[in-house]
Amino acid sequence: MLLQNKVLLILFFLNAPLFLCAQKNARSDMASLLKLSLEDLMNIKVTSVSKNSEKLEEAASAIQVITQADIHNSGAKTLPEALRLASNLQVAQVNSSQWAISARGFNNVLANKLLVLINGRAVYTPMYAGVFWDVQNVLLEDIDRIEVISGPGGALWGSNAVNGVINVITKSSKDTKGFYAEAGAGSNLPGTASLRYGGKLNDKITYRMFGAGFHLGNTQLTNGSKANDEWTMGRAGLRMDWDVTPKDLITFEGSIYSGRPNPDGNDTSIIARGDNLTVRWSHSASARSDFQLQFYYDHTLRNFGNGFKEVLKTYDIDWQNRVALSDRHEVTYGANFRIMDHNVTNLPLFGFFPGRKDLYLYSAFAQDKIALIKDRLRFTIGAKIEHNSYTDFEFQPNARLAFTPTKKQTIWAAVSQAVRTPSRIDRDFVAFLAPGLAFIRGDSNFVSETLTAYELGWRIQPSKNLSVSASSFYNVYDNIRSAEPGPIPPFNIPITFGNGVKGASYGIELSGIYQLTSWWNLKGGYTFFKKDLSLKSGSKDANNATAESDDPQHQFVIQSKVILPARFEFGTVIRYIDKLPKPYVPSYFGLDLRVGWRPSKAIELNLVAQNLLDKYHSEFIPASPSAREIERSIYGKVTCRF
Amino acid sequence: MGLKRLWFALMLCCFAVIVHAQPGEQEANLKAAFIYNFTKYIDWNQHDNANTFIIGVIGASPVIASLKEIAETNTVESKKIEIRVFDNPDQIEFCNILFIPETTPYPLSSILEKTNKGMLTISEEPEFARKGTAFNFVIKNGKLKFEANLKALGQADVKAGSQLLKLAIIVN
Repeated sequence: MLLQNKVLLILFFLNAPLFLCAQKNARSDMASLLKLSLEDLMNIKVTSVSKNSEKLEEAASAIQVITQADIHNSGAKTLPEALRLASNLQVAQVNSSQWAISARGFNNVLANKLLVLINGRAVYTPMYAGVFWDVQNVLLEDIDRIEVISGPGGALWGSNAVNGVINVITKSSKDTKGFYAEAGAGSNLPGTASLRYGGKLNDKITYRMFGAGFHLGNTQLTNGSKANDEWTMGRAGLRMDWDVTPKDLITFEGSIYSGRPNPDGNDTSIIARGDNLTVRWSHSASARSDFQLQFYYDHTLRNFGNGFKEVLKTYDIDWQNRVALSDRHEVTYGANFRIMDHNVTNLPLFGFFPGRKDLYLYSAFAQDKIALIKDRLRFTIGAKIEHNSYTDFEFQPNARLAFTPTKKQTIWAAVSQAVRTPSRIDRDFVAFLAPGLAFIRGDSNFVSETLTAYELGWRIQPSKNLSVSASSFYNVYDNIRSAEPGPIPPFNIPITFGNGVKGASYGIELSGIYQLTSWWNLKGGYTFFKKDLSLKSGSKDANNATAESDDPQHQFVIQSKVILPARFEFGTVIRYIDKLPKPYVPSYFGLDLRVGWRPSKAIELNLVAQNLLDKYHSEFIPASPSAREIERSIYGKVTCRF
Repeated sequence: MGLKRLWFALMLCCFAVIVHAQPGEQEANLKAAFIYNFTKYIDWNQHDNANTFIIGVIGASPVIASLKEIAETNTVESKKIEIRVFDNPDQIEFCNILFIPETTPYPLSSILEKTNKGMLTISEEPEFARKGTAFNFVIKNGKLKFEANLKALGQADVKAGSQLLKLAIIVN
């Protein structure tokens, strides 16, 4: 019998006695509960799905929330691994440090249609409007939740939130007091260690400081040899939360990091460094009105090791005010100003011109949530207007209708427009074959890609322990980037980026949470996605309307959390990703298992096996470097909390 | 080959769906335990002349099964516990405790107007204590707590001991 089937059978039998005990547990539960005093009863944690989905019930959009419990249960070691738990995201590991992550398709290492925020700080590079995932590291233990919204967030979040928004929210320092230390290593994990201490300065000020580092193992080439892409990353940070008055909270956080990702497996790795600082003031004037003022500074440096270097300094100030004008109108509005000082050191034949450019972004948004029929029908209308350095003004409106026929059900529909404004690569990039002879270049006429999205969704909580949601969408795209051949034979260079692709995509995202018993929770989702792109008239796109993307038609994720006797926990994550069309990557199943044990309140031991079903598998083939395969691995981790 | 793996993988996680498991049993059991504990601190004055202690429930709820389990082997002031389920407000008869589940489709006012002295109302829906039930379960920080409406307790002419009230969130 195949190894993987053997493993599965063993696990099945491991679980079977638990199922048979389920009924018996219910009886002994009641008898033991009655032995407790009222005070003891009030100390027991209640399990139900509703506390997590309280906000979700209100949300008239396709939102999935990855909770701290989900992350802990899955055995994820890094932020991208944790993002796999959202079934409305396409997450593909490319090599040891690079990931292709997107929502609603158009996935690529350089995916540019997703806005990613960490505590409100946007983490994308204007070089190509994408995210360098190797430097987005957060201490996973300190993540409160990750909100994943699939669908255009342009009206609230601005441009580049075309297909979705990921918002990583960390815990307040009030909730992370004490020492936290962890250390782990495994078959493909040379090591990971983190240390965090949280305390309070006085009654009103709490803080935490952390230091962490990891050394992640390599992937392998398709011919079986090591890819030499192992890499290290270290970071440290500090957060402070100050309750200045009962109505005012000031949060101050900063971090610094330095790492050496090496996706190409070269002798000299990339050096990626950065530091950032965020200050946020939240004021709640009353139950009906509050505002938030946030300032952040983000500095990143990436030295590619061959002379090409990118230094980015971002200064952002953001204001948001929410006020309930009347019983029926809740208005949220705000303004934002951002400067991105983007400084590239070019190679002789490859670079961005000018090397250094200051990009300015000014925007304002307003949104009104109108209760047409109180507690039953709500209409939300909003828009964001933005001015950027490339295309001047962009307008992104959004209208949403939410119908709540019963307290446990919401049906919603939305129409939105969103844009992906040009990034440096679309306008300022040139690669030369020889001095004066360009072969790929951006174009000063490159305009924003646009999306008009039609969405329909349904969310229902049929019982206290089951919550289900379905979202469908039909996206109409225009002016998607194409690679237009040039006049010079024989290769028709220079290839110039144009806006020659249009088309539509559509799909459905299903998700649900089911608390079967007090000790067993299931959470998961399925996404169906199809894309239909074509060339606009006059376009001779060298990529043939593929929009440089590679997306699966089906995918699903199922997470299982089991609380076992004797302080053991058992986590399972199963995922299925359908084949990617071009470059072709076969479909695969991923199975991650975690066994956790807390022998005492302070110590936790974990054993995690990842990608169990295949010795090696490929998830995404990038344009460069060469295709890699992810291997099956196992690691152990010791955690102390006191 | 892929299909076989799919079957095994799904079996791991979905097997117990076939096995009977009461959803939300811990919460239902917990609430039933609370209700039973309340009886130790409440004085029904003279309003409980019956030979049994009656807990009425208007509508369906997983708490009913938990209450029935308690009734099998426990008593209140040496009286056997009887569980009565009312399908609609018109069917409500005298009971020492009337439990109003969150899934009840009837407006609270139509239920409360059928209650008389000696009937302690307990609910599990946000705002219900403020709207007139004597006790109301709420979940705070993942733990079960309860609100108390002193005015409603007074109207039901039922006395709650101070040890109980000091654990409650007084709403009125």
